[in-house]
Amino acid sequence: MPALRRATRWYIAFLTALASAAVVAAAFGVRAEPDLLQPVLVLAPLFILAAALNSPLLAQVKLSANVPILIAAYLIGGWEVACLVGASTIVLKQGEPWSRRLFNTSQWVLMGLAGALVYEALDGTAADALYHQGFAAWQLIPIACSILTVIIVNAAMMLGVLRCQEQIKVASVWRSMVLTSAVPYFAYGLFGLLMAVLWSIGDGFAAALVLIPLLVARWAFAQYAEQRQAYEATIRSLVQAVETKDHYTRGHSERVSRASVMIARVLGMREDRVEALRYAGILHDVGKLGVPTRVLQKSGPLSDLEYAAIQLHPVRGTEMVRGIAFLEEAYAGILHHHERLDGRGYPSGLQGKEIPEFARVIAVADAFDSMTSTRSYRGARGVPEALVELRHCESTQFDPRMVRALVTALQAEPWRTVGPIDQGDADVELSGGSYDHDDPTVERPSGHDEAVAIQAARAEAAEERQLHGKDVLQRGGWS
Amino acid sequence: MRRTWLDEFAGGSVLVIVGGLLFAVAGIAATAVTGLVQPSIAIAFGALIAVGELVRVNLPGDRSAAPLGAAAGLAYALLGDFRGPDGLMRTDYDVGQVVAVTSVAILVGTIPHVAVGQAPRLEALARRVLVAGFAAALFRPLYTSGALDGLEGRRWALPAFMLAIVVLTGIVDALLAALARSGRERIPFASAVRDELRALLGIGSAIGATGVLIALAAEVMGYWALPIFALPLLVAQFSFRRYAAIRATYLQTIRALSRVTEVGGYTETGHAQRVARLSLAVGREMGLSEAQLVDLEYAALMHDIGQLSLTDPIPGGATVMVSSEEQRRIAELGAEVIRQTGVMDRVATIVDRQAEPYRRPGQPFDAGVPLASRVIRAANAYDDLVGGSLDSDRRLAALERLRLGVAYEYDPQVVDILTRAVERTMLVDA
Repeated sequence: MPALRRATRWYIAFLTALASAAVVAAAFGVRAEPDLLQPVLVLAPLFILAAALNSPLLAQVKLSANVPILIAAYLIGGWEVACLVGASTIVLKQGEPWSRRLFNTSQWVLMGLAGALVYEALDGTAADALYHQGFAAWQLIPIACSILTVIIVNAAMMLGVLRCQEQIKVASVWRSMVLTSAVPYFAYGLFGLLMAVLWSIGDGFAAALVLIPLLVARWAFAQYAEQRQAYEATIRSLVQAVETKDHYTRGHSERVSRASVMIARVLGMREDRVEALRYAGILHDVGKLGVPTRVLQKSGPLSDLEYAAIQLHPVRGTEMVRGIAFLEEAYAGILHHHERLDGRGYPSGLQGKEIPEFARVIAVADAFDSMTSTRSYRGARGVPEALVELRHCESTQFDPRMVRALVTALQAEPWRTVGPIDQGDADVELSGGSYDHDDPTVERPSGHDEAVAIQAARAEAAEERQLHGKDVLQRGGWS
Repeated sequence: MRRTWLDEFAGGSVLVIVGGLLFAVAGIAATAVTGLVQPSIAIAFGALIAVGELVRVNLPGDRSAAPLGAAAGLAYALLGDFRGPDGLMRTDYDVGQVVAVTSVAILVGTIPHVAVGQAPRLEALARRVLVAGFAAALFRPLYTSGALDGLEGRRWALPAFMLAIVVLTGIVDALLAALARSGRERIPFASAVRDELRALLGIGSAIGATGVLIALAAEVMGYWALPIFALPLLVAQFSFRRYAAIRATYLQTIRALSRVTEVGGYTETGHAQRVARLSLAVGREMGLSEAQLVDLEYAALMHDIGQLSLTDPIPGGATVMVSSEEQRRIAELGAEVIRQTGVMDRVATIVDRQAEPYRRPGQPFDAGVPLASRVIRAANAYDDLVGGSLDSDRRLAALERLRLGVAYEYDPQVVDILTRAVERTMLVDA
């Protein structure tokens, strides 16, 4: 945590003083009315437990179990209970600086206090009365108003810190802060109400049950998030292992994926498609494994057969990833990423708009990364030079729309040429020079019978299409 | 191994299905005789059960579950006083009606699934009927006879009693599920029970809590309790679905990437997948837990990935034919690649130790080799010798060779179970 400015320290001290006064007053209130002790003793541990189960993974999902408990606290026992329950979080985060702990705790106390005061001012029904009168829709009005107060108090306190510490213009953040928290907070309010209703029926025991589905949902989400991170890490490093066969392309898949995503964002693609494209980018060259290392690392012109072997890699790659269900659209991207607009590409010789959108994106990203990386026969080009080259080849080879999108994206975010994981094996760089099939500036090897090679690749591609939907592996599998 | 509808009836499944069917028929018959009591409550809960059945999900571990339907069924079984439009009333339907409403609602909710060609898992449906009946049998007689009225004094007592019933019901459900699963997938009953109980802790606790909550809150909120308490459970269900989806994607991706050695010409087509399937069959029968089976499957799929680092492919990719030093080197290289992911250390260890012989001459048995490594070692050797061939002579010859190696090379127990697994498929293929 960066050093706090003087203004921020004063601000936190002020909030802490305010909250402390409220807590002391609440403690006296509970002493005068011993009935309120039971809700405090039940809800405070639940509150601490819920806060302790928070994890950074869960930050992105709006599934707090704390806000419902805080709201339930004042519905059940009024402002005194809410203040004391809010104050209980002070025992958490022992490792963190005092300023942060004090601020967080004061925030809970003051949110609870403000919500409770509004609820009581509007004559909100206490939980026990709910039990005897039954549940009626008009009781939602005081609750809704109190939740709105909680939202505003929460946002105001956060903005106060931002204002003091980073001197951010408050007006711009304010709206989005209130708007994004509105829906989840009203849902929390519902949970709080449910806890209060259950409290009136079966005390703290029944009220605690309300939290179980919520906590289970959070747990499942955390599992999902963890599994997803593991998945990402796995796919990345396995692809990298594959890349070690071809030293020059180390980090290439990663970068192609990144550039593809940049293009997709400029084009305004839907988020799930961007996601699929990201994986398509990472996996676009896995089929290269089928190309013998000898050919990949060969310097000098390739024979027809060797060239045919290289041309097969998109087909092989698609065949491999076919079993990954969510990648539907990515298959086409991987299979056709070496097609050209003029129909002279491989494996199918598609033209113009016949080429799937993903493939047109990956083709541009692929060529761009190839040109801006070092090759044995040339050094890395600069980004501007590579873009000029892409422009030069657009409408014969690349979709101008994708090239334009890449240019736009690069204006907003500069290109990092170094891959995220740089293994830095300097000796590797000395190995034999290889023909880069992705580099549009390299002349194609002048095979006297190029047609033969392309024919072979197309036949494979046709076969691949026939197999569509069937797992190639199922034939002759162990059953 | 492809699942056919006949597998539904294998082993314990048939008991569960017949039991559920008998329950349903008896409940419907009894209700038909006495007539539907408090029909509007029955319809409301039946509708929620049907909706729950409609939005059922496949949870991790290929478990077909209808969390909302199950919770609504429990709530209907445990419903005490109900605040209807005319004020508070006692519910006075019996166990038979709970079973009847649940069965009919499940049938109704299943019709759309069948209409789009998704066959229901009969055993899971039957289990939901049985479980609702079980909970009702524990609660309804006590409630209708007024025996529970003594609890009114302590407000926590009724919820606690309901919770106890729900916990007991959950355990029964896990036992039934384990019974069906152990028959279907040849898992020892004890390890199936352990897996089911573990799975129960997750979504099961949310289902149980929601069931109790709806039943309790209906006393104050009436019909409102149904949709309102369904919401958090739906959120939980949604999270679980995403979790199951990412797990499936993960497995599919590892499967796909395991083929790099085939595409690269290092191993025979389908080798990794066949080794994985055979290893899984053996691992299940040896009682590995679900988490261990996942590791086993990943390790089996990637067991040859170390070959990528070889300059020249081994002929046919059969590691069984090369020297043990070479085997060990491939295993280490593969483990290194897998360890790079940073999230699969257990899998890396399994791959690392797969080249270890079962025991060395003159040395004591080394228990440090994971069971999964021993399974993969034997399955790999078998598949190296047989490949995709269905020829039974070749299979028998390979099994013979494994059996000759049990003194030092292979774990005798693993070879025994592997032999049985292969012989079973030979009966099927013949």
